[in-house]
Amino acid sequence: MLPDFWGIASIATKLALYMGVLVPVGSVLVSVIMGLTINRRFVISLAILGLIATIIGFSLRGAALTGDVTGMTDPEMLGLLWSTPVGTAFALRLSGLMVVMAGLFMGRIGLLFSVIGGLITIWSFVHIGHVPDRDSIVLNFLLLFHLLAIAIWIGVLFPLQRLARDPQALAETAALGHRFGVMAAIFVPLLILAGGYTGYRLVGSVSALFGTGYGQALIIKVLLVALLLGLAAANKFRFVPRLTAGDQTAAAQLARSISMEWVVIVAILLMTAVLTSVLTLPS
Amino acid sequence: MKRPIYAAAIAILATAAVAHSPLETTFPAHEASVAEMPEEIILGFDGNIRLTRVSMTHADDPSADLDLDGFDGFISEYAIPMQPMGPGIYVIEWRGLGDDGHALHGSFSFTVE
Repeated sequence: MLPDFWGIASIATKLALYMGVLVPVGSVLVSVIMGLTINRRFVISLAILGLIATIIGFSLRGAALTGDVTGMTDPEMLGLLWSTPVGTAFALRLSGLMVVMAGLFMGRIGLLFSVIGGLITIWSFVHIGHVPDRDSIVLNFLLLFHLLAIAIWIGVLFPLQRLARDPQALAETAALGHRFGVMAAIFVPLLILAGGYTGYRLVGSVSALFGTGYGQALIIKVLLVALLLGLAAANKFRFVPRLTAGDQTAAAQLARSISMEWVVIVAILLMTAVLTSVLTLPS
Repeated sequence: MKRPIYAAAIAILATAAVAHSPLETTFPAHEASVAEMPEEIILGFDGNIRLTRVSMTHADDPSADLDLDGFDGFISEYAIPMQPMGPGIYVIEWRGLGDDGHALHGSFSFTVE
């Protein structure tokens, strides 16, 4: 069954939201953790995308209440939404992203603001959705960890790719690639465990995994994640050691491999958007 | 322990085909035939909800929205007055917001003989 116009609109909005949250928050986090410089214009553009997607997403929920386009701007519908956890998440997301952006104009100390804004934005995701509906502190904690870890992953990719394309920055690329590889060796296994447990709690059974649209979409997402891990492993075990040894061609290969990672990441976020907007959990 | 079984039976017998509908009971019951036109329809939900739109289609008449002005806040039972429009099949479509922020919708139908 294909989603209708509203379904497609909410999938597209979710995808924009994920990009518009994960890229800015991830960039700010890696800037603090790994001391990387932030491409301010880029991060702000994505944060604005996140703001727009937040507003359109809220408005689309208004349309779901009336069943037509009038609900998108109906003050009564939007006011009702505001009084529920949807409103809380909306407010947290808007204010979080604005704090992220404001912090970028306040120098070194502003980075602290941006990090706080990023955490508020990520925190908004434990207020509404399939995972928060389970009303489990453990699952909410795993969701937060999951979001922070993938934000950091996404946040590293841009600076790493930029460095890999710079022939003068071979040693720097190798060093960043190595540090990211060391971090990934710790958080990737944790992510797999967290994802496996969360998936089990959400889907509940093998028959639901294979027999429902939600389960099947989740299988596609997991296969894409496996592909991403394969690409990341190639970077870590093949290209980064050659970079460290001073092999110039490895930098170009790493940059290409990261481009492919991007394609897979967008596909994963798209599947996630499908899972969280038009599909319902197996009951 | 009877409640889940009761709820499941009601869900199968009396409510709409929409998956995950929280609508537990309706009057008239889904797909029931009644001899007299009811003065109001009743929707009973298993949680608190704010109905945002309820439309009624009678036979070949164009669908009309029912008046929800008398309701306020999130409640679990709605008794909505309706205009008698004579015999025929009535289809009620409803949309609402659960107090957890979920948009909900569904429909049910009945026949007046």
